[in-house]
Amino acid sequence: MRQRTCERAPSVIAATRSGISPADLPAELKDHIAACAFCTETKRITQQFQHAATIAAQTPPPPAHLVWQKMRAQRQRQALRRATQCVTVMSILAALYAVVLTAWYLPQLWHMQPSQNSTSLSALSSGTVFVGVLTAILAVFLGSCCLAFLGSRTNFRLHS
Amino acid sequence: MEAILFFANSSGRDLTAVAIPAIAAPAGAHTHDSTAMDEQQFQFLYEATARPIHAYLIGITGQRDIADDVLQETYCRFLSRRPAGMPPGESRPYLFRIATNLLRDRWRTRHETQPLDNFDQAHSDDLNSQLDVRRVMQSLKPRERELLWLAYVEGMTHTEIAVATGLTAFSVRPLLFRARKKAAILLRPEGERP
Repeated sequence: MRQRTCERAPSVIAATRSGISPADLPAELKDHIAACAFCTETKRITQQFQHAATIAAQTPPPPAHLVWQKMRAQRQRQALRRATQCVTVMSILAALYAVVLTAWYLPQLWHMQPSQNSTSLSALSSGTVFVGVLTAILAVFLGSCCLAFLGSRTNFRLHS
Repeated sequence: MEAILFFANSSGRDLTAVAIPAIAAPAGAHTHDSTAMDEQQFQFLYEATARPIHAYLIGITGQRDIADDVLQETYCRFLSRRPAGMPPGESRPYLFRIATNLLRDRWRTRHETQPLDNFDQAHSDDLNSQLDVRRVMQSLKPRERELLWLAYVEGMTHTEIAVATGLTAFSVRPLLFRARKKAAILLRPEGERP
């Protein structure tokens, strides 16, 4: 049965990662690696992955200022999207209000007698004003809630 | 206030001590600004942490453009979702975790392949060794590459790997064992392979 682990494996990994050449390894560790199949494999794998890391490290990451600028641009896009979201919601509410009001007001105008026009119109207009004010208050309340919610999601600021 | 961080480079050869100015808000700032970071603070953090994460992303994907994109997105997420008051020393595994998750999301949603082209372009004195690396990386699954990279390049313990990958420490052990076994077989000299 193959060995599943070895207590010296972390030392082998650490020694290989540190870049010590095999000849410079402590004699005791060198003897152990030669005798232990698990540690021989560990050393081989570590060397290969270190080699892969060396190759990968030849490609430098993008400069910090470039990433910072991209992050700021992305942040601004997100802020704009959030702001637009609120405006969109309010536009939908306004359109909905206009449709409902038209659907309610026009049929009543249609069925109105000419003699009742003056009294009915005043009654309707006062009712309309009431509904309008109520809807405006509701819209302001909903808009404030929406802004407060979206504002709370912006939990960090990027300074210029 | 400054915190001293020790970061190994991607090949783990030298440790670099970096003094990072405190990330917490300046005195007198409001609580909701506690995670704010200015460009200088970001630059310190980036210089100290970006290189090993970038190498990790290149090692796993083999594609520089993907590594650059994911690295940038990693820092964006880090700044927006970093828990308030996180000590600077804990940033590293957290960044690895974000990068790993972003990479997985990308593979899942875009069905990207992992051609590992970078290993062809790199200059190496030892061509056989380079071919071995390429062959091993191509034969391993992305998760196996992640686990092996974190264990053998970054020198992370099982607990740290669990934090960096989002797996439980209990499941890291068998997964890493299987990945290691596969890599060991692939790296055996010609005559010893099954």
